[in-house]
Amino acid sequence: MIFNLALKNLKVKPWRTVATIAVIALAVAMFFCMFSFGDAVYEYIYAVETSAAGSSHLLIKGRSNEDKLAFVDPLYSLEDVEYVCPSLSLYALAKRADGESEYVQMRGFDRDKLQLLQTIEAADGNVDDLVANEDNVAVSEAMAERFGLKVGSRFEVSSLAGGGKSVGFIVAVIAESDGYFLSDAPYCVIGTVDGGVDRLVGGLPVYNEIYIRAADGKSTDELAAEIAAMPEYANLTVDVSADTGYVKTRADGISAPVTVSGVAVAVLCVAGIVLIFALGIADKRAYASKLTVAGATKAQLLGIFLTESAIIAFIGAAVGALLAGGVFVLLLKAVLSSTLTFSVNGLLLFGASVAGFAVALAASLYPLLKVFGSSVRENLDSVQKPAKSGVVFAVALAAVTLVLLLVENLVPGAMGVLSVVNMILLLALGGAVVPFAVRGAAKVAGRSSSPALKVASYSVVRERRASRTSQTLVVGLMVVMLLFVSWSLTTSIFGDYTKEFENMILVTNVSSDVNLDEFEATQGVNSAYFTVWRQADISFAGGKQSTTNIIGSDGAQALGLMAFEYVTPEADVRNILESAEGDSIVLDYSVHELNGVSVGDGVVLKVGGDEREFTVGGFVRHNFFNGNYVLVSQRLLAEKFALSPDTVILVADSDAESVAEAVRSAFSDRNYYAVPAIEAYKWDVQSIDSVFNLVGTLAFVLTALVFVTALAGVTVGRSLSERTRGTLLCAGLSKSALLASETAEHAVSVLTAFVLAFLLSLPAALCLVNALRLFGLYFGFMYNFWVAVTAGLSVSALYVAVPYVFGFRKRYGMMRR
Amino acid sequence: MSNRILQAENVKKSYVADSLVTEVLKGVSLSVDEGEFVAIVGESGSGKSTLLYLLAGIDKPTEGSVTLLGRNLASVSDEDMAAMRRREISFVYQFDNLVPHLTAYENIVLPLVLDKRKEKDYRDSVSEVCDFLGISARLNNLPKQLSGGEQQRVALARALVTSPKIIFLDEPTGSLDKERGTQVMELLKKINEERKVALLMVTHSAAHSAYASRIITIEDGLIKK
Repeated sequence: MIFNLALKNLKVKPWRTVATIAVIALAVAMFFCMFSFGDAVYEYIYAVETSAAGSSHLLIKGRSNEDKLAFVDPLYSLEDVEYVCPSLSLYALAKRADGESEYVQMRGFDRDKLQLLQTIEAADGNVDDLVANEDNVAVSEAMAERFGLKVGSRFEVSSLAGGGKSVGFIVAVIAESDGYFLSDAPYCVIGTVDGGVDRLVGGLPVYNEIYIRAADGKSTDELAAEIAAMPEYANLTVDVSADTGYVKTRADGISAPVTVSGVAVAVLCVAGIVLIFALGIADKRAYASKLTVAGATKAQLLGIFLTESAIIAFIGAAVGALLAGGVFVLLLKAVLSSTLTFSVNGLLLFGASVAGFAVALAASLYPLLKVFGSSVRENLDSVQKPAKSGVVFAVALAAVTLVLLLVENLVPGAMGVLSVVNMILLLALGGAVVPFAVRGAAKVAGRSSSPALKVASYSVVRERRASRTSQTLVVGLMVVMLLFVSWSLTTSIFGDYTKEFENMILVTNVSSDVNLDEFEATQGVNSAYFTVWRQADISFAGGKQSTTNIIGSDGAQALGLMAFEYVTPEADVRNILESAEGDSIVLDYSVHELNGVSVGDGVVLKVGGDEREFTVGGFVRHNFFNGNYVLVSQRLLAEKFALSPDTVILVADSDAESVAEAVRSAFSDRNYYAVPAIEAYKWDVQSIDSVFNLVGTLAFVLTALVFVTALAGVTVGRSLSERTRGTLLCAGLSKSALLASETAEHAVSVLTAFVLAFLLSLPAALCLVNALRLFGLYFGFMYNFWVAVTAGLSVSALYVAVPYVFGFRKRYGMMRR
Repeated sequence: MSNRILQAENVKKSYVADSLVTEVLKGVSLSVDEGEFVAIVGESGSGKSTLLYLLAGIDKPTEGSVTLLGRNLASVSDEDMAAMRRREISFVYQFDNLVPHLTAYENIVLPLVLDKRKEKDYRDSVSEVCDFLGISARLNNLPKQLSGGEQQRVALARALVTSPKIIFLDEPTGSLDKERGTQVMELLKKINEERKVALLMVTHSAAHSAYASRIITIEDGLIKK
């Protein structure tokens, strides 16, 4: 009986039921998307970072570019090794169809090991053909398009060394952008050795990289130590082939703004669900009253309403779960990579569904509190007991939020978790204050002589549904503004970074006795820096550790590379880097903010397994790199790690591409790899850009969610006021004026919500920036006024246009049946 | 002809649902003169309410014409119809006549507010109407705080404050008990006699139709001769 009654009540207002289910489903989908974002970005960056090394654990390489690895056999005798995959990797110039040459990375493998590290997915051609002929190679679809190649095409590749020996290759496979080809900058060409790629270095089957995968259960560190102890590899580097710690740091850094915003999105989803149930309170009370009169007990009422809510919540959660997995993977495929397989975290999906179900069920209990707290008559007429609790709550919340904001920003070390709490409090404050603000605005609008504005004013001031919708709008607008601001700021910081690098050229494959004057004599080169650029781990007092990049500076030269801001006076920083003694290094200021490290403190740098202690000498600041670099003098690197410079950075005073070309021609007799820095990090640039695009896409999706939730609220609310509209028409309001009135009602609600959301989004953005400290990121306060206003006004304009767009006028009528 | 305010000629109305055509009115012609009190009676489903909606310009006939206050309703725009409802005609439903979030007073003056009239211009006349209907003490109450009879009197007050020439009433006593129903009918009679307002009322009560000066019986979509 209870189930039937619940089901019948759901069928009475089908649109309301559908709207409620839709809101729950969207909330579940957004819960899942926001909290899966970090994992998805990690998967993506991991796949990109490991595209060369594939499933291997260790990589043996020479310490200098000239080193060749002669011995592979001893590795086969090692126990606990799943595979050993030697390869030859070298940069070369390939000729395009238009006659121009372009850098490519030639990689040669033993014939039976071509797909040991990665699987080659053929978009065209047959992978088996790669071993049929030593000239055969696989190229990516991107390279095939750029070079004008098809399966069977022949193209010339010139070695960078030995006077540019030219060798012909035939395209046997055009591969999908996956595996080896996921990081395709410069374009990757996969072939064989023993008469294949090795022809570029004289036709000998030599290798310069050996990839190793440890057997299951074998520690990678132990295996690396074993190999390093073997005399054949004593002078080589044995390191992990993909630094998962580095990948995690990068993924966390990129996804942090969205992960933090995820909390705000969760609040929005909860608000949406609560709103949709709150809008049906009057109906529920009237229904409960009728059932009570018919003899229903409280337990039966509870049973009926809970059954009804459980049915809706279950369907909503199930639809949301189906939507979430599919939509999110489609989104990732569309924005990040169409070839990567992204996994759906089943536990997270289940958690999101359960959360959506639980929130919906809990929200549905609110009408019951009203039902049980009122008499049958009060329920029938939906009598509101006068209460000032709303004002008291809003004032108390404002006071608490203000105090906690002050604590967060004034008490050292308070930022982080408290920032997240304050962000939630600010969202709640918006929801608590907006009904009063909207009523105030409506009263002002009601002074107009326009009948439409007067009717709108009556409705907004007196009807609860207007307050509830405005609460969803203010929370939604705040979240939308925060997401769009996050997107624009990360994108603009990234834009500044690429701008800073657009005049730089990286020259690698250089010997240690390189003469910088020769480079500076090349046309278009403004200055040249000989430097060390290595990944390292840095540890601070208290055990905190992170991944960083060591920039080895020749004297204070590195300071000219990027636009650093000086926290420690520039003269002192220069002294530190130019000093002939001591062990001082220069760190990014974020290290001070995040880890409490000060000048004079000790830190430990770990490079290639060697750990050395240094003293913090000073701080500089750089917005994009944000803690991911350490400036160390080359003297110190040589003393502590025996590292010598291996990269020349050129700063061009004209187009970097043409200057790189000039450098290549000037040094055509040497095995230099000279490319614009932007080109060298093309894949990094593309991958970060893709992640930012995903952030942007999510911002748009969330905007749609806010809009749909508000629309669902409008649908439910209007279903309860159909007769009122009929009465207004009966009293002489024209259909046009009624439409204008409903539009004005929307405008008053959303514009007030917008103003409030904008004001509160400023401290909320500060909280968001502060909360990034939880992810090891430090930024000063940032806000993009125009982006926030544009995003907020766009949603507002859409909401104002709803009565027109959805043809409210067509359904106006005075008929009663 | 000079005092004729409503004229319906061969009015037909049919509805189509699931390819099934239901002819509710099969050709009704009638007229109402100034100050007349006409009752339309008939069984449930006979088409009397549909006829009232058509005559009041709330619905449109499938065939035939309705001329209200000298204007053919087929050619009256939505804006002009709304203006007529604010100034010349009124409509009272069986129940739910009032906007729930407005007080009784705000409900009563709603057509005047919508017509952009100044309160000082209508304050006295509204007060007089409220006194006339005996609701002056309840003006600050919301509809849900009023009894059914009081709500209906507020609806009548709203219908009267515009000084209309005709009021359309759809079973105005249908939701009231016998005693309150009789009170409302007495009021309607008083309104008709003292204010010379024409009333066109749909009812299924023979007792209440007796208050009218003329009774039109609808049966199976036609006026029973």
